Amino acid sequence: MNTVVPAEAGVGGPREARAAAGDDVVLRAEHLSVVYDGERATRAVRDVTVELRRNEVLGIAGESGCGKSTLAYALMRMLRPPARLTAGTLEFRDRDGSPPVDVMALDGPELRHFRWTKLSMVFQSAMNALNPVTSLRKQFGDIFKTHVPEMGADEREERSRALLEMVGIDPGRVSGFPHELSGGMRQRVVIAMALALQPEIVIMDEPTTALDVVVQREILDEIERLREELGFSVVFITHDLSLLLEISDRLAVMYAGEIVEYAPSDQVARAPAHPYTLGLLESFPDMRGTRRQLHGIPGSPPDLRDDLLGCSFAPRCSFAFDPCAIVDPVLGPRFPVLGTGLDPSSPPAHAVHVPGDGDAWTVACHLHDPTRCPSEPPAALRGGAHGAAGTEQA
Amino acid sequence: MTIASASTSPEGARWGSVRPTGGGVGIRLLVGSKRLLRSRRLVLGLVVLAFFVLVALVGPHLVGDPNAFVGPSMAGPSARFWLGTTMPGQNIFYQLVDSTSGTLEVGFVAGAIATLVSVVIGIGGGFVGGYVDEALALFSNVILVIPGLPLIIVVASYVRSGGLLPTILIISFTSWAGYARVLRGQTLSIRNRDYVLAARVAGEKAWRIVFVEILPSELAIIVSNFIFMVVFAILTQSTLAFLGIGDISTLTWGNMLNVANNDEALTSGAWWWFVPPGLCIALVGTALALINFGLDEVLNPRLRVYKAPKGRP
Amino acid sequence: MRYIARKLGFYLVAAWAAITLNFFLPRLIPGNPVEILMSRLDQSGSPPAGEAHRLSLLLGLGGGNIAAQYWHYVDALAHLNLGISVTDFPVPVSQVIASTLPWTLVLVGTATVISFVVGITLGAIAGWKRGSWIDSVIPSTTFLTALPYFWLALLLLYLLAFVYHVFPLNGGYSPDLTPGWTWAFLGSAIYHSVLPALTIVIASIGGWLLGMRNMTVTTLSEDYVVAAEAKGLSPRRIMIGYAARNAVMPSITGFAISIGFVVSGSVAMEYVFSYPGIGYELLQAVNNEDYALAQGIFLVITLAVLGANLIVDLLYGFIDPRTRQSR
Repeated sequence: MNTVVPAEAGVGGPREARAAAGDDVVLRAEHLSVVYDGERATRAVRDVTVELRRNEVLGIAGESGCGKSTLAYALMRMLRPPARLTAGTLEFRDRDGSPPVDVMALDGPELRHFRWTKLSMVFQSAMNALNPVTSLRKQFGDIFKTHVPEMGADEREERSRALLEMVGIDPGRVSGFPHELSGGMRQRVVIAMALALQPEIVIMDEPTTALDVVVQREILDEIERLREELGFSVVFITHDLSLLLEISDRLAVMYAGEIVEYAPSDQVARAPAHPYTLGLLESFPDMRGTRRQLHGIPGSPPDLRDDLLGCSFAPRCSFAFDPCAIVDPVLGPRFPVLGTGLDPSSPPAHAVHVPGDGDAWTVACHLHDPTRCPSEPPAALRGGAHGAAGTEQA
Repeated sequence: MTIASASTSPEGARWGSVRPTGGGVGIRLLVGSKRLLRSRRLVLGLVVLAFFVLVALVGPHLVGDPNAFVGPSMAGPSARFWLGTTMPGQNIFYQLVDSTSGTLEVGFVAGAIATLVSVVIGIGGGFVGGYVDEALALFSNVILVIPGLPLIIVVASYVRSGGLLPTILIISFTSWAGYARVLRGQTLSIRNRDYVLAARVAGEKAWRIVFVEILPSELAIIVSNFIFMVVFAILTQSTLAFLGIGDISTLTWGNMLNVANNDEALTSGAWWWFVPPGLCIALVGTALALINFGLDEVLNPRLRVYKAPKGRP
Repeated sequence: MRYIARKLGFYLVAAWAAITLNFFLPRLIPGNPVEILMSRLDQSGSPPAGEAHRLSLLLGLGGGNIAAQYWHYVDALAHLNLGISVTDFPVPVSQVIASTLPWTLVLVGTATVISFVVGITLGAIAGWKRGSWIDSVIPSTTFLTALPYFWLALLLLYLLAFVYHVFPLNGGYSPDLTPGWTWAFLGSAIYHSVLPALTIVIASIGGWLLGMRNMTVTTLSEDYVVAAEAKGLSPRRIMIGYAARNAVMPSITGFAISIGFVVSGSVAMEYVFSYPGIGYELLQAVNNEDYALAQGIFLVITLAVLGANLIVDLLYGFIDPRTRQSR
């Protein structure tokens, strides 16, 4: 399944379209592919193209094993054997307007400098992301000593305390150890560390999954507040789609290593275009408390060691029809295209689709391809049956 | 697909080798028998061990009297005397073959007794809990820190008869403590897992919980402990025999080394006398250790070395 | 602190257990150890008057019930009245121990620490660079861990002292020197200790190497190491401050436990080298049915091992903040 428009197709007009919106793009990843080597190689990320804009939250959703964490590690260039990047480009634009950085070309000290000063990460499990045997002071100190070697001991201490205070933790804890903190406090410390060097981008890999609901809410509010205060972009990864719909500006839904739907979150919230997104949405309670029936998605994701023929979701899809079993769907505009009457509030669709452009609402599904499915997609995928969108349509 | 999701508590892993932790390893051990044979270390270890067991069983019937004076004094290896002769002119090869069974016997019997004791005290204490457990744990820890060999030497100086049995008993009873501690830790953690708690709430009998829920999941550790204790017992017995402590009438590799040392084999340059017995001890020990590491490798995939495909940058 | 109190309490109990064990040992013998010992002493010369009585008190075989015997025994120990040595007649046992213990302490202590430090360092490197040449050497160390100490000692002695005369055949110092703080003596002592130390290092390094290597591999997949890498820290800082720092913890616990094993192994090693340490003396005592000396040495070795354990445990409490909390 080699998705998306091939790179050559984006040469003419799309470049200009990107240039218009491109100034505020912080990170652009194109055609990333990751393989886990083994007796039979696992293709965990398959030709993924995404872009992240300044000060936005990009959500990446999907079930366990869909490749979302692997994608996050690929964005940090942190893949370790047996994982290996087989293709793709990664471009970073600093806010100071310096020329774009080809992250893939960075090596050794350059790459280490890039990490954390420009792009930091909050890991899945706060319990284990802190070194259990050294004090918080030392762990903050390691960051400053590495990236700001000219900083003196006093200043390091002051900064560490300020960071702790910023995330709502008693600065006196700086001499404490991770085991003395509760789960929520540890996650706050981890966030404080991620923000220590005021990076442009913070990747958050399931930052709240291990926490209970109340603490989870606190942490999310904290992230939102810090984002307003400091201005950084977030790639937020979770399996909880309803949470993502609430906090992210744009959303990429991943299935079997590919992006199957990519669109502004508020729009997806009203009418998911891909059957998988719909399924995910129906398997979580709505954050805003709208009552509805919860369904799981029957079946399980495909074995990524196999070559997938046709649509990878087809075996689990209740809407599947003939082409799904044979032809690989590519990420293309939702049908009917937005702005043609379904949703008057949304901006008009781009005439030409730019891969990774989050303003467009793209989906990889034959139901939205007029050449394969001449009739309109089922009502459920046009917002007909789902949530508030149904009433809006009436 | 997370790259870094697994974690082990430092307490879970023990010094010496990283042990597989968590429930069901015992079952995986049985199910994974096909994978077991794919570990080169394991197969090599099993082959070497099988060879020595075979020699122990049939060897003594194939060779002549190891104590008979058949040749010249301290002759080097030759076609007639494969490994040369001792000072009084005994055939060293015969002695080496004949010693195999005694050495292995001490190792396996003492290893089995020590394993049994460690299982009873470790799992028993951990399962019963309370003061009994505290007392047993304290007892194990005390035994563990008292150095074994000096104690054995002092005891052996008082007890100087009875064949290999006293040696076997005293080795067993000074070597179980460390493993009892490991098993206790495991039992404590398994005891509080959901499926065991569920079985308790459901009113299952205690012995059933121990034998059906706890023991199988600790099988891999017990097997590994047994193997290490066999090695330890063989080394200890050899050391004692070499020092001439305990029973010196039964022929073992340690015993051969004792005689060789007393008869100045070293300063006579009779390497053929003192090299082979020690080499045999080391080979058996290595074979057992390889079996252990092989099992570990199969059960703990994280220890496997990942080999990058060729032609990668 | 609670941790220290707990540890101190435990080692007091362990020391008491060892002393009590020692009390019961003479009862294992079919005959009367005091009589055997006295006849031995008589052969060696004329023991001081009242020695039989002192010996029976020391061996816990004095008059009265068992409580009284135990009390006399502890009283004798407390006054360091450990009897007279048959082997080195008429030197008191306490003096024999005092003159042999330092040899073993220095030799075994130094060799063990060298073995630990080198093994841990190589193990960390092997785990860090998995699949490299140093990692591929690891399996062969399995063989080293299976070597009997005394046989390794024999081999080294044969090769490096008998075949090639690089090191002396036996002893702790050159016989034509008198012990003292002179350069000549110290040099000779170091020269004589190389082979014994090498034996301990070779025989015990494999365990450290392998344990540390495996722990490092396990630790490398921990989130905090991955996080440290994401932070852009230098590989050196990650390896030392994050990976090795955590991976070494089980090895330190293991170090405490292994002290007893190393001491045990060094008894046989000292025998091979005729090294003037306490292990060699213990064997002499046992062969001479010198019960007072044997038991005194057992007690001292045990207490020394307990002391070393206590130090390691306290050190562990110092480097692992988690122990400082409650447990």
